[in-house]
Amino acid sequence: MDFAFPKEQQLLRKAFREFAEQEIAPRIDAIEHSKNGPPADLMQKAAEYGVFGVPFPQEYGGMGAGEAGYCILIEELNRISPSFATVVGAHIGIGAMSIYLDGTEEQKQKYLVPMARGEKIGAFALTEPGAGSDAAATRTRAVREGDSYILDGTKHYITNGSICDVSVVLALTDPALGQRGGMTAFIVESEWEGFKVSKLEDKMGIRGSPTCEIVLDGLRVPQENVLGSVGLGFVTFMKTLDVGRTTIGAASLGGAQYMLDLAVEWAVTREAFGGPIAQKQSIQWMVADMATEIEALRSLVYRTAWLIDTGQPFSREAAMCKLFGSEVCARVTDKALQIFGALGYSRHMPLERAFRDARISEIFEGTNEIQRIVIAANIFQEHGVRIHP
Amino acid sequence: MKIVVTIKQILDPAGFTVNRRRERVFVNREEYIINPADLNALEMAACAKDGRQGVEVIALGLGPARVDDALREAIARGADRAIHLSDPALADLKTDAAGAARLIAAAVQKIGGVRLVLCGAVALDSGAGELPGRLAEALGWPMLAQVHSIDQIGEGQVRVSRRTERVESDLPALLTVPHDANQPRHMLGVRVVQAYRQKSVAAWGLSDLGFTPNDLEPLTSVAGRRFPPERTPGTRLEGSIEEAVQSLVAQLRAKELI
Repeated sequence: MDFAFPKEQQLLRKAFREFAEQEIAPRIDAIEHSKNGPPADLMQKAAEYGVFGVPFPQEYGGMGAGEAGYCILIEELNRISPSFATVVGAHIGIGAMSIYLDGTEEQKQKYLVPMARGEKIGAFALTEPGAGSDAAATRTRAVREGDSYILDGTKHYITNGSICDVSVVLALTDPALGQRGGMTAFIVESEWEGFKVSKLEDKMGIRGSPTCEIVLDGLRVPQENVLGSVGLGFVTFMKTLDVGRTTIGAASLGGAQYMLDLAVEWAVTREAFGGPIAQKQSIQWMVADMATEIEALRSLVYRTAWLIDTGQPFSREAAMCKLFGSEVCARVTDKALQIFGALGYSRHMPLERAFRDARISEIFEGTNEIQRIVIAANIFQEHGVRIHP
Repeated sequence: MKIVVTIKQILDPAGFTVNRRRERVFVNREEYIINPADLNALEMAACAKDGRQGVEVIALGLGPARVDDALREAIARGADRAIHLSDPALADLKTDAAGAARLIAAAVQKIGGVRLVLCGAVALDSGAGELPGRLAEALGWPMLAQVHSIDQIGEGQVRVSRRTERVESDLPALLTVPHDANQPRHMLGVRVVQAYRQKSVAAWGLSDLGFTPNDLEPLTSVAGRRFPPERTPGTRLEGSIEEAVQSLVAQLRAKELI
């Protein structure tokens, strides 16, 4: 058993941190105030740098760094900008990932390669006004017409929806069968007629990542753009989300670690009652609790990444990464803010933004309540009991 | 054309604190980085390679096993390959810049066909800046110090810019590059992956270079350590902008700086 990060991953972290600190950090304001995603030149730099294809093999235009390398990327991006990390995470972790997992060789060449190179930006359209956590309640219809499908419906809370070139969409091909054989995943291009961005969300946090409603209005999708098998779209989507959940754990880890780093730096600098506040037990206990939770999260995230990279089942652990990670990040951010006191509450400090940004992780890509169901179902399944949400 | 860049691995200054009163250095985290000016030298080599065929950039490092990390990083930052001068005999051997320079010079000769050696002007740890001169001497090559950019390079000649002058030299030559010469490019992730999976760092020992430990007898020895005086904080100019400017001008005049 070897818990050390391999040298390659240590150097990758250094490279990603350098990129985040030198290229992203100076642009935080521009990112946060943009309605159309991160500035184009920054996206271009990220593409040249290879950010958009980190986990994918080099033969598909990726970096070939696997899930562990991808977790390191998201951890480092989320330290500096959860908005930017969300744009990249939605693109790689669910958008491109679904094509990587279930795409045909032709689909990978046509879509995954330019996505991995950052020439095309991806999105993942699952959620609907009436179907969030209850993905089985999907209403978007896909009706066969010759060698195409016609898609009609509304998807909302779609990260990257307004800036994507390619989106995977889940739609009902057979309402009678529903999620068991009646849903199909499609690869859709945003240029196509019938793909309309109808509303941008004004969010509490991750304000620099565009989230929007998409209306599919008679969108014609050629048959060759069915992702995976007809009727098995729900499986494709759930499988993709499993991978995505691991990276929410990684994002939370990066965010939490950054908060701890800031809090420690402040605790040794800030003086009160005749010395640095690091000498106060109240601060020490908070720091010890923060560090302990972060360390536990790090082990969970990278063990899960290892399960993925070595082809083992990881669904339960991925849900744990998302559940535990998002809650650790929220608790750690809250404590860091407390250590900073009134200064932390100021908008001039990164803590206020981090506090707002952290909250989404308990909600998106399956609420934490859903994660608990996934984990419990996984446990009870081993005892022959099926859990119904 | 082969270009060699010397790489020195140093202790990361972010990982230690200096206690002047007790004249001690406390290493809080033992982490190593590439000497910053060496990254500028590497960047200059990478620029010489950009858009030109047949240029090979070779990173050359001397030191214990951990120097492998620095050399892989050099590959990720643009070197085509790397050579690690390392020998168990070096672990207990006290040598100096002169000894290191002779060893590195022998490695440059062994590589063969090297037209240019680029060195960071000064290492951040010792601040001595002695190695490049010693190396040029050991090679018998001209040395151009404090080069900010290579303007033109052919098979036989190089033209470079320093802060205030343009200088030409025959090749082969050795250039030293200061920390403010350029902005090193990012380390590309895909090159990091290649540096560990597809590239190997050649390891040359003393015998590969025809050396014995006796050949590295130092010319100098370190007699003690010195703690530079603490810098005093500057003076804060109070009052309105006009008053502050007048006060500043008066003080500069008094010191005959203007």
